Amino acid sequence: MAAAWLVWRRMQQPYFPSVALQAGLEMVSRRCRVLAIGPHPGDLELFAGGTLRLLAQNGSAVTMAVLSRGERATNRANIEEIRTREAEQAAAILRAELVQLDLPDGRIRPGPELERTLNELWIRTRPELVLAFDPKGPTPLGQNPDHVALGAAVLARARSSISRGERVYFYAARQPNVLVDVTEVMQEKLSAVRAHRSQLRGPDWAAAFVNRYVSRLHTGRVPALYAEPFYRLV
Amino acid sequence: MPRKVQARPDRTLAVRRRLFSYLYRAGRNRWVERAVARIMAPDHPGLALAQGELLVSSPRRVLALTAHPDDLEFFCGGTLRRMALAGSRITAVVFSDGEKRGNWENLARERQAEQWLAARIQGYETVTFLGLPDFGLPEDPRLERALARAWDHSAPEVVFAFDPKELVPRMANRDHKALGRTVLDVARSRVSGGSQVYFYGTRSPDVLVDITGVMADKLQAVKAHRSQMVYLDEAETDGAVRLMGRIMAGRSGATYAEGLFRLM
Repeated sequence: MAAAWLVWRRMQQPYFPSVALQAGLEMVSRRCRVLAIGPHPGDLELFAGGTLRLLAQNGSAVTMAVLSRGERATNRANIEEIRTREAEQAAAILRAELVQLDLPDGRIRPGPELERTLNELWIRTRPELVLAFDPKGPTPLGQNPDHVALGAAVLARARSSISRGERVYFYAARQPNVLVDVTEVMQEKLSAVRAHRSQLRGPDWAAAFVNRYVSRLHTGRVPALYAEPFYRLV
Repeated sequence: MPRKVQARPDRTLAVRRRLFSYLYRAGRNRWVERAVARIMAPDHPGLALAQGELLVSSPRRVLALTAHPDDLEFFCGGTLRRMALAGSRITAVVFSDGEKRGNWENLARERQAEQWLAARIQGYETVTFLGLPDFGLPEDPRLERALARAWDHSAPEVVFAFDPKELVPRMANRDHKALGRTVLDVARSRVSGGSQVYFYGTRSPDVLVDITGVMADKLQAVKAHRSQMVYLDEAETDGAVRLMGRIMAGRSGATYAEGLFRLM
């Protein structure tokens, strides 16, 4: 069991870890217009929060587009408003601009509606760097279909995006080729995740512990304490 | 043809012959081929193929680095041929002459002649032989400086080199690994130069080049290295090249492909 876990972890490491770290440094240090797309409020903060904060710190204009309001999370009456307010707080912590869209939570599927939404986003932000959910997802089983739909839609657009000179990165990558060192902004990332109060149970330190553990999953072979994995489409 | 130096049986030759033919025979099994193709498949094969088309379709200055005279043709001959057809100017740099083989005397001149023949088939602009010792690249102090000089001299837009993580784990020639590792070092100080570095002979490709159209040229160029037909005979070499192409193509849609890892 332990051996299987080790082999699994080893398979998830990037092909050249040090090169991946260098690519991450290069990714966040260039100033550009960034469009980060998340299917639900909170996904971006959890999987790419540190990177977004780093980009914003380095002078990029970061737009966080959240496709749905996450209204199916619980059956509280005004959950949409609560989660939207939380997303605004998190975006303020990450120094990003929030674009809240109204696709139905849990029912985002590839189709004309999603296409139209993405088109509008592209026209509105004219991105040079795009962040989207990895269509393969962080785990082989138990994917949220919203995440898969977003990733597949961005992947379908990727060929024309790349030929326009945009750079496309997928966050929550299972086999990353870019690692971003987020050690210096870990506190901001944690407080951005913690802003989503309605989604967290238990004490703050438990959420922070889980977050730190997840951020260390990909740091086995690079000199970074906390890292976020990305898959870059070449 | 060079002569045998001694009459002893050539153990190195026999071992490598058995090794290569075993690998080839194992790979020819349909299920093995499928499994290997599955393991080596890039994450997004369609996009990898599109990226390969972008790479070969516009003319660029190319620096192709290799350790021995026949490796370039075997591992990325189709890619180079397609780039040459698109009008790229290709400089091939061969670090050693591949002069060693068991108890045979110096093969250098013969293999250089074969490399020139292959270069004419492929359409390289120049071939440079650096003449470093075969099988001694890791220890050679001239390697890094020669590489840096070749890089700066040709000011390339695209660099091809061996992947230091070998194709079959633990089985690569030590010259190949040394060359790849040195390229990794030299590339680090040339990140800002704007040249792209691609590794061939990789086991985790993320760029695929469709070589179906130039497969005949690639086979001809590989078989121009007549002195290397001792490990596998001509028919087997033919089959091995096609097998590599099929494995790399996998389910991406091409019939034959070559896989590259893009470093930067």
